[in-house]
Amino acid sequence: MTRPIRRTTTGLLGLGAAAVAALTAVALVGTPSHAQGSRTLNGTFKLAPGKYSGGKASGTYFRMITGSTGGKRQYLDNPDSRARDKSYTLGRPGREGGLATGRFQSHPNPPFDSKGNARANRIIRPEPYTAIRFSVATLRKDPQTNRTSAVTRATLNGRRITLRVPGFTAEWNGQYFNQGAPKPDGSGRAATGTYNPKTKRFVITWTSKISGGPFNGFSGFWHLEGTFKPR
Amino acid sequence: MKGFGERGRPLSYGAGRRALVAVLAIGIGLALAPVAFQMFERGPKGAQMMDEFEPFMTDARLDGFQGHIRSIDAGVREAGGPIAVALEGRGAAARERFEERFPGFATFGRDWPPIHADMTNLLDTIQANAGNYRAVAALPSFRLFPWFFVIPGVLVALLAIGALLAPRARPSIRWLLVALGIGLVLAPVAFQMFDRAPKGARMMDAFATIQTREQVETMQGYFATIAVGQGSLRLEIVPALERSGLSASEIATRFPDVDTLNGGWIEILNDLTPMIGAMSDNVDNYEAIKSLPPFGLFPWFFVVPGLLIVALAVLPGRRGARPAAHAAAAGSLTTSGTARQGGAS
Repeated sequence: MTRPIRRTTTGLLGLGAAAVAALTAVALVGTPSHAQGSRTLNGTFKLAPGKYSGGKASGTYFRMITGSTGGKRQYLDNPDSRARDKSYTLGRPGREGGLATGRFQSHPNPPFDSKGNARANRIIRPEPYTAIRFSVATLRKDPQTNRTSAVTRATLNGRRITLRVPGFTAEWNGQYFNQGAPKPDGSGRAATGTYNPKTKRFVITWTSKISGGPFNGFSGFWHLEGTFKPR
Repeated sequence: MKGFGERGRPLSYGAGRRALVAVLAIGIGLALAPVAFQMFERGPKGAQMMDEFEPFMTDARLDGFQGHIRSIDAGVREAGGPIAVALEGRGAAARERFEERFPGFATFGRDWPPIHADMTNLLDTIQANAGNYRAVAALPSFRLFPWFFVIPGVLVALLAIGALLAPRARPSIRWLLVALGIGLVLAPVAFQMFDRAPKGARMMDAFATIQTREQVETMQGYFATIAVGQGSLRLEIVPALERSGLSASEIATRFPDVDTLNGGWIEILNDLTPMIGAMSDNVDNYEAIKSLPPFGLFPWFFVVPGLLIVALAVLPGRRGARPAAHAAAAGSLTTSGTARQGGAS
């Protein structure tokens, strides 16, 4: 009675060991190819100004998604937008030309003027949004949750960019709206996009849900376009 | 006055022991009440809601909100009336031209009356409950609320245990329990809970239709509509007036309501969006407090156990004050010595 049981046990253990060995081999084969194919991008994503023509937006722009009806996204219009379609708020590069990796691009102190206009101007220039200027910054500490955010990182795999920018924060009317990708707590997805290694042209997009405040439940759609400048 | 059956008096000793067990149960009940009602989780949420509403609940701020709504209403009426006439003339065809020329404002003009009614109603409700809010705010912080049960509860339970374990100490412990019981009875009086708690209950009832996710989303929609409409007024209609030959000062003189609205728009945004934000951020906090027992009952959560503790601390002593009569009636005294001891104590 004991021998067949021992044989069965030995056989099962052998099978398990073989399966583990096979999985490890697959993982080992897969990891280097992934690691070899991806590299970190260090530098600044220099932003091209947002444009709107022929019913199409390009460059750097933002849209506020309020929800969807019948599968179609609904947007909050910004009457002050320079675009014909007021759901697009066009951006212009800020003092540092765009979004930098490996460091935070915080706002000045104070972050807002007496009317609630945002003063952050490193990434983009403040733009009017329903009469009050809004801007963005990458913040180490999320003012909404007090969580610490990781610094901006970008990796390139072939022509595909993955941008992790959890500290990305929209600032408007004395208020902060984390627009991180992923969020500081790691939820949500990283921003993704395309990159041409020859021309260094990039297009990166992401959607980030607003949690808390007057726009709670809305989402920001970000479209960054321009040329990457390595450090 | 004697209590809890002093040593050596079997009849009152037994009654006192039962009373002590009852007091112990009350103490444990008090101490565990916050756990049962999840006060440690809900209390801080309530405190957060009270803190975040505070800037908006002053008469000046609430009057300001009402003024903003009146300002928007006056601006909409003026733009849809005299300004539309100034730009396109009178009559149905002129009206149609105006609406085609300024579609953003036309939509706003149609959407505004129900928004106006709803927002006025909302602000009236909030303003009518500002006094109730202030009454609740004057109570100790919700964060401390659980401890008002736990601390006396634990003290009562510990004293009851002490009295059970050390019968010689019962007379002095009895007085401590009486003092604690009186403290519990007087606490709601000291904090004016009988006046403030029912006001809190009225506020919670009034906010039941306001502090909902649905209402917040409605407000967000109103904000979007108002922002687009005002944008059309500021960026399309006023420039059209300027192109028609009117100077800025002439526009301000002829159309003061639109001028006031545009001039005060940033202040309106500065006030309105944080209020929507506070409402939105506190939907869950409101729900947490709403899940607590009704505010009106809270004073009684102190008074009833307080009275019970006092009664239990005092009544057995009265019962034991006539040991001989009881003993004779019951015929249960074990020794005359115990009776003498009890009578002498």
